[in-house]
Amino acid sequence: MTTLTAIQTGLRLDGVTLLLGDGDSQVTALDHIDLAVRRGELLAIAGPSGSGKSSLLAVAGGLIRPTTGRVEIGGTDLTALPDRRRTAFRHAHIGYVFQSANLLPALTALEQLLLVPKLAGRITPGHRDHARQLLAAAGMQHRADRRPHQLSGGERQRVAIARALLLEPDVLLADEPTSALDHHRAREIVALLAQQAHQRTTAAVVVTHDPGVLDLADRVVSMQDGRLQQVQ
Amino acid sequence: MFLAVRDLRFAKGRFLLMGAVVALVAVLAVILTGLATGLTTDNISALRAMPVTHLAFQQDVQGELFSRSIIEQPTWQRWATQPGVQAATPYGNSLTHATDQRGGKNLDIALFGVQPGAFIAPKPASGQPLGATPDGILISAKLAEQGVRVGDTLVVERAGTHLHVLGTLEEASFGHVAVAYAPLRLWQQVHYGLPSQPPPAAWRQATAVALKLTPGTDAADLKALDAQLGTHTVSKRGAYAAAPGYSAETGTMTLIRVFLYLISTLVVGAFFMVWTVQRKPEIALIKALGGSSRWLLGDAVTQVLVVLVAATGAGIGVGLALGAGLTGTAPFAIEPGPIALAAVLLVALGTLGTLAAVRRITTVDPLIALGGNR
Repeated sequence: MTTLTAIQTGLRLDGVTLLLGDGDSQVTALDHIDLAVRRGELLAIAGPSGSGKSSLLAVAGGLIRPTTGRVEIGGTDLTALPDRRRTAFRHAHIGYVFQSANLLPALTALEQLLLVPKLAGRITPGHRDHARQLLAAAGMQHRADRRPHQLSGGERQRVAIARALLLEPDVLLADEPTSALDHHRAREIVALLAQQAHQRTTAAVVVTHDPGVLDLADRVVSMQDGRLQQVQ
Repeated sequence: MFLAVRDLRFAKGRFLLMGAVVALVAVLAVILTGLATGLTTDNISALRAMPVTHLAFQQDVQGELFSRSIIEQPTWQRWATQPGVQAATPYGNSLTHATDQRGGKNLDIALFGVQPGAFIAPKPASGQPLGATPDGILISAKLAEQGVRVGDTLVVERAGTHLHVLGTLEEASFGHVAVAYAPLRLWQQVHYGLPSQPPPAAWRQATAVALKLTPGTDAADLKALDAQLGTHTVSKRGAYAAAPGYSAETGTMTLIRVFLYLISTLVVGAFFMVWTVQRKPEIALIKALGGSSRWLLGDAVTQVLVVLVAATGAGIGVGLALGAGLTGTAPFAIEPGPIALAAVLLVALGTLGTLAAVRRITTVDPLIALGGNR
């Protein structure tokens, strides 16, 4: 199925509900979520801790299968894929940026990026060139051979964003990428996400509880008790 | 490999420590293997070198076959005529003490008695062959090293029998004692053990019948022959166990080595288990980035193999160097076979121990990478 909407919509969630735990302790983490993120758009999801933001990202990224509902990425129904295919699909189509400390201590900034193609096979010269371009775009070209302990928190997130973009994913998911950063750095990182989403026509989602960066997103939704509310 | 070698370089200290432990185990393995080989050589090299397939001892003798068994002349003559027997000849074995007349040195000797010209009579490495003179013996290399020379006369204690050294042989030991070969009649004289002439019966005795049987001789046939001829036949290998101390020595060495390999397996396994637990967040991250458990396991096994092969190689190198220093002062012998086996065992068992430990990679949940507030 390659309709016009499927091409333009990078990420689509239809009636997604996620129940966690069972019996008396069962919690509705996500409650009938409908959401579409267009390619080239940065969507920010705001909300207090425990509102279900990270669960939403985990479901959108194929790390958790929703209890009911569909998750579509570039027209492929993620919930219908068997586990092994889902891992391969995630690798090829989804880029992740995590909270903090998400770089491997033994690898240089450049190697953090090259690990991604290595996970699926071989590193080509094309991957190397692309990795250097992405590091440059993230303002990290002069730090390419540094290891994480030699980088600041902001620099680490720049490397993580470059890594998430290496395989030109359909969807870029960022989970509280600014939680360890000061206000100035936090804005720089979200601006970088927005710029890369626009430039590479990737559907990007950033989860944050930092109100100071919301104006940099194209659209903001807020979450409360597992439900979405439009803000802008 | 990509991540494995970079982790090795990054956590050098930890892996060097681990490698050092494996290397030390490998050193110990080489020394123990060399000692085991050396002890075996020291104990049964003379038996091993004999061109026999079987030895027929006296029936119903328990325990120390070589010192207790007595075989009579008719028995070896009848053995020689049996079907499937290519050769049968009397063989005498006696542990004795003698003094070198030149220099007065006291010597322990395992005296083997054989008929000159029989298939078990050894060819001298130097000097005259056995049987050139009635009182002539051939000495093994170890006695030569102790200062005995061709032309010397050894006097057996108590009996006073004179043994004239005709020539030398290759290294040959029995029960950690240097071997000398004597003509059967001279051996019978020594074995009788008194200064006077032995009674006629003594001239018709030996310890066992040395046999060369047609390959593939049936065990049932042997049993029937044993019953008929009043003997107890064991294979050459089986006879090793009857050499003094052989079973106890090999048993002890084997036990020590088994424990060494067991400890090494557990140490390596434990190290990589801790390492894997410590890396759990990284493993979750790689999984969240789309890495499969198979990729991670492959990477982990590569890492283990690099450490084990390098450390075992280094340890065996050091062990061989130390062993070279031991040769001569201790029963120590290097043979490529057992050393290679030790190396393969260390690497294989270490990998096995690690596989058990890193299996938990498969159970790490990529969700950990997403962090807390869900």
